[in-house]
Amino acid sequence: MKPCRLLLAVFPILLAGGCDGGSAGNVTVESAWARPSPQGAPTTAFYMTIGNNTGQEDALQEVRIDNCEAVEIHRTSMDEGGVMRMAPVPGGQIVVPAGERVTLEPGGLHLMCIGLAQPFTEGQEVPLTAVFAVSGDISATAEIRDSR
Amino acid sequence: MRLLVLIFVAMLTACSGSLFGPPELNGTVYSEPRETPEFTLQSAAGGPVTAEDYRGKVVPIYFGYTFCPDVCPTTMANLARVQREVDDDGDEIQVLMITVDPQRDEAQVVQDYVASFHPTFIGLSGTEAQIATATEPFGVFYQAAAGSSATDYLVDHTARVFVLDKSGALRVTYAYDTPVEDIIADMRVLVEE
Ligand SMILES: [Cu+2]
Repeated sequence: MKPCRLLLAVFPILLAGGCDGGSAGNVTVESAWARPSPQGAPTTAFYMTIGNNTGQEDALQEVRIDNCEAVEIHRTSMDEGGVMRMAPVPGGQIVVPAGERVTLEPGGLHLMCIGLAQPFTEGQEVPLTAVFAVSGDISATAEIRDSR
Repeated sequence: MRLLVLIFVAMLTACSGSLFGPPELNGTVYSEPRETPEFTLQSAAGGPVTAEDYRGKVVPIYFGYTFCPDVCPTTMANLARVQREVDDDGDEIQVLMITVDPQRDEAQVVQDYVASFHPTFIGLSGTEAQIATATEPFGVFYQAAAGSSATDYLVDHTARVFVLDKSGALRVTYAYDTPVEDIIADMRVLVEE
């Protein structure tokens, strides 16, 4: 009887350990970053990876960053002639299907921060709130650094 | 025996292009090098600027604007890496950014912006007409597009880097997604000419 009881006590702990920091079952915002602001730059772009470890589709609908007057969810696209166009994503949201990951990166999806109250400086850690349709508000920290 | 000699000669001919000819560039090389593009623009220093002013240097040119958060700073950061690794003193390479948004970007605004990436970079602006004339020899397209209440307007534009060689000829161009290492290798070749 005793070994069985022990196993019952340990099992939830094992389960939690296997979930590794609570990432399973959640929507995560990882590796958020932006470049240091060039002098006088009125805008910048934030990049990140969104992981959807839940069983249902979710969508990033809004991002709030204190230092930005507005944050828009944009996609940069390039035509065959090498002309760059940047526009808000259709529907105003980034859909992340269940079990998938979406990466926002230079030349593609980005969060355009407009109207910087202060320039972002190298090494700064910037708190942000990402708002998802299903998961609600998720807090994350973006690192200000040059691209790697 | 004769056959062996023939094969040897054929191999030599095939190889000579890469062995003895000029090193090939990674970028898109103009089939006939174009003449020095004609433009007159304004620098923050005040005076009018033409492409002739940079003859003797390798001149990577990017058309962009300072309100652009994504592709422009990414490209300028890449060019800064090229400058640092090939010619940090700026003796041989002169990067220019020419604004396609003169309404927002006076010369001093572009200059401050590019100097944040590398102190040797030069930012240029001009009148609407001067900018339009400058884009022509490069085949650069640019057009303001309506934005939101926050962005007001954005500017669609060709996102390539164009390079004048030391003779001032428009020689090679790079697509936005060209690996920086490829540009670095090419600049090492061009500064040696
Ligand atoms: Cu954008």
